[in-house]
Amino acid sequence: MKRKILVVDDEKDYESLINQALGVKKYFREYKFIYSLTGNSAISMLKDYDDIDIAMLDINMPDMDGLSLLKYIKSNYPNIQVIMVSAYNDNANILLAMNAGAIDFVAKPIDIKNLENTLKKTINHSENIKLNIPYDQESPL
Amino acid sequence: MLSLIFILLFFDSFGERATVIIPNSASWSVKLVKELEILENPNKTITLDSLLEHPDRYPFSKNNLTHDQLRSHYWAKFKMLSISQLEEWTTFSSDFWHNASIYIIDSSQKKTILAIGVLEAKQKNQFLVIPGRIYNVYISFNSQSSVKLEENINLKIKKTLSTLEWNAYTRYLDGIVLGIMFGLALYNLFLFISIKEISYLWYSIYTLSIVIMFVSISLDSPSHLQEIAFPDNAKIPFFIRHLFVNFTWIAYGQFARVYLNTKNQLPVFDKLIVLTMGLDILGFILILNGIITRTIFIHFFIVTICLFCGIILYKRGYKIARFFIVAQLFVVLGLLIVSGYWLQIDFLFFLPQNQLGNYLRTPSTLYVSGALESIFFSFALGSKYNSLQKDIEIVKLEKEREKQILLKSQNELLELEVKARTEELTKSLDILKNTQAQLIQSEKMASLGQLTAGIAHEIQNPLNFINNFSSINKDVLAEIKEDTSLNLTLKEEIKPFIDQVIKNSVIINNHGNRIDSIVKGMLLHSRSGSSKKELTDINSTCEETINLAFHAFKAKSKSLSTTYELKPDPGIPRISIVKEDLNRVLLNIINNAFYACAERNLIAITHRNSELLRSEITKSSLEVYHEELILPKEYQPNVIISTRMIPGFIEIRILDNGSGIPLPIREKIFQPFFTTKPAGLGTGLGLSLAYDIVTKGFGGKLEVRCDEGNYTEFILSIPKI
Repeated sequence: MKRKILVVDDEKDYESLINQALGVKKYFREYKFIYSLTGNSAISMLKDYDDIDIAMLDINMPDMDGLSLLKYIKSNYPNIQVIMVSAYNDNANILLAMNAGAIDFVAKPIDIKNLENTLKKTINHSENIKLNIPYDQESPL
Repeated sequence: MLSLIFILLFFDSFGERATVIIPNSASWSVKLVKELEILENPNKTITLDSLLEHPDRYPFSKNNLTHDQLRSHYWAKFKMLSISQLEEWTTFSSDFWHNASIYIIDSSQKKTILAIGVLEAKQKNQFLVIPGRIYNVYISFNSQSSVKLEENINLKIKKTLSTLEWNAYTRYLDGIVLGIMFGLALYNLFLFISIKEISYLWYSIYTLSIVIMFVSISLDSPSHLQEIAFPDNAKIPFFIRHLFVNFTWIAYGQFARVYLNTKNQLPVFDKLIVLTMGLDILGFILILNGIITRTIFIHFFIVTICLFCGIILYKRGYKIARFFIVAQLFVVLGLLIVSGYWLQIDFLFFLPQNQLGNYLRTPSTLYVSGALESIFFSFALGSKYNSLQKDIEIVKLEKEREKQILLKSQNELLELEVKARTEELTKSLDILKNTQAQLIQSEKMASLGQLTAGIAHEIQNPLNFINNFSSINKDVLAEIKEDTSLNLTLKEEIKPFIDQVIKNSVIINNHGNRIDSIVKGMLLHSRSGSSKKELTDINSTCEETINLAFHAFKAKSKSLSTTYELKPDPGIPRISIVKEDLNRVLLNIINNAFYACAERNLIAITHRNSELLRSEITKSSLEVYHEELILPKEYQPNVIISTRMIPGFIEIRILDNGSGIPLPIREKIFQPFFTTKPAGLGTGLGLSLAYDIVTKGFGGKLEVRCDEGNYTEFILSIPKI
């Protein structure tokens, strides 16, 4: 069973973009990208799937904003690593996200290379946590 | 007539005893002095009866008593005979005897007793003389007066109407005269109250005093005052009479002084008048002590002096003195007539010997002259009143005119002030308008900033797809091109199309990136000031920034040997600002400065090389304005950055000798997205960002001075606090 990466963004084309840009890459063969257009559906998906390793959250969304969702995830599923992906990449937002437990922040428009690296790093980190390897002994990418 | 009497008296005096003949005429009077025979009556021991019984024992002698002898009681006697055809009333009087009893004994030994004298309370001084009879008249008198001896012992006899008739007549005339004078006194008092001219008050007092004097003066009969108020006491009327006789002339003198203003105009005479007034007081005291009996000479003196003053002043052109002179003439005339009365000289000989004539011959004439004077003077004072009123009106008019002049000048002043104020207002209105415009501008900028931020963020989402999908497309197409499993012939056929699509994808991607940089610039604009303020050294910041900009610029345009100068003011204190913001501002301005230098150089080259390089800047609107410019042959691009202190501010000037800013676009340079750089080279956000930071972030000012084709100078003022 493939591990899952939950992508939450209100843009429909996002799914297509991620699939085309990352889903085809060899590195992510072990992973399945699952998509949610709203925060609420994301919460139900979190309940449905217990094998979600990573979540990629947009901030500006219609029903529930990404920062609230981040907090929800961090309090209910502390093992899920969260990457914030947003156009609102000002210092205040970044600071909020990081303090709420996000592992990284990716600015829109997405630099695919950058996002790929971030994902790789996060997957690595996630794996290491599962193997109980301390953060400072993590191997660099 | 008088002379006849004197002759008769003269002849008669040779006889044993002088006989007074009462002539057959309507009016007659005589004053007996020498005609009287005198007998001393020490301690009043000799009675009339003993005199009559023993005429030989008491020899009478001629009236030649010396001064010292006049200290006791005396008897005087004379004979009286009327040759008139009618029984006539004869009045006896004496001005100097304090008390005297007159015994008239006719041929039938019938005795009539009269009482006369200035201090006699109940005067009985009339006697009906029957023609043809000889009367022996005995007078018992004493006098304390020490005036001239002969004068002291005298007796006046005159024909009169009966007391009742005469009194009725004199009262009638006196009443009219006194009434007129009293009215005039009130009139002058009214004038005084109305215009507050002190001379009216004094004249009123003077007139009132005359009235009191007149009612208290007794001539042949008791005075009105005595008759009405003090029938049993002669001393009080005597006192009042002399008090007011003297006070009248004091008031008169004071009035003359005030009216003629002698104090200023004739100081010597003024002192003389005051002196005479003093004499009047002295005279009053002397009269009370019985040392003198009359002060009329003092009155004459004071009237004369005042009249003289009036004449002098009239000659000097003091017009109201004219009235004074004429009025005084009445007084002088009155005094003259009275003097004549005392001296037995009839100055009014031309008047008929009727009641009115007799009235005027007596001291009552003073009443009349006084009244006439008062009437005349009141008119004079009335005219003065009018002239004073006129003066007051003239003064009023003058004041009015002055007021109007003042008003006019004040109006002018006011107008000037209004004008100045209006100018000020217009100025401040202009300033206000400017400020308003700036406010609107900055408000616009602010809302534009917010809008920009919103737009920028939202644009980034679609941009995300544009950039990434174009990129993916390119990759996918590249893969297709490389894919060996595909049909070769087909591949050859579609290859050009694939290439085309790849190329297009690249173009889309490039433009997407361009949008990205624009959006990032816009976001910098709306960036919320989360950066912290720190104490910043302006000079070192300037140096760092210009170094950075210079090297970046040099890397881009290697051919141009640009220089820069740094002129820092070492005294500038560190100030608390956001350092990155200052960096950003300086960087934007300095970059522009270098760009302007390069542009000028380019224009110079273009100018020389004609059309060769023109195409490179065709999109620049600057070109149009620069074609005509004459450039120095050797152009040395230079940027100078200087700092200095001005009151309240730190000033940074960035001066370049570049192409300058054309006038029409000078106002637009701080607007967002306004740029003169070719597309792709500038976003048009640099200066607008700088402007925003300086005005909103630092609370300072960003100005530009510029001479097109020669230089541009940006002046950055940051508050010291």
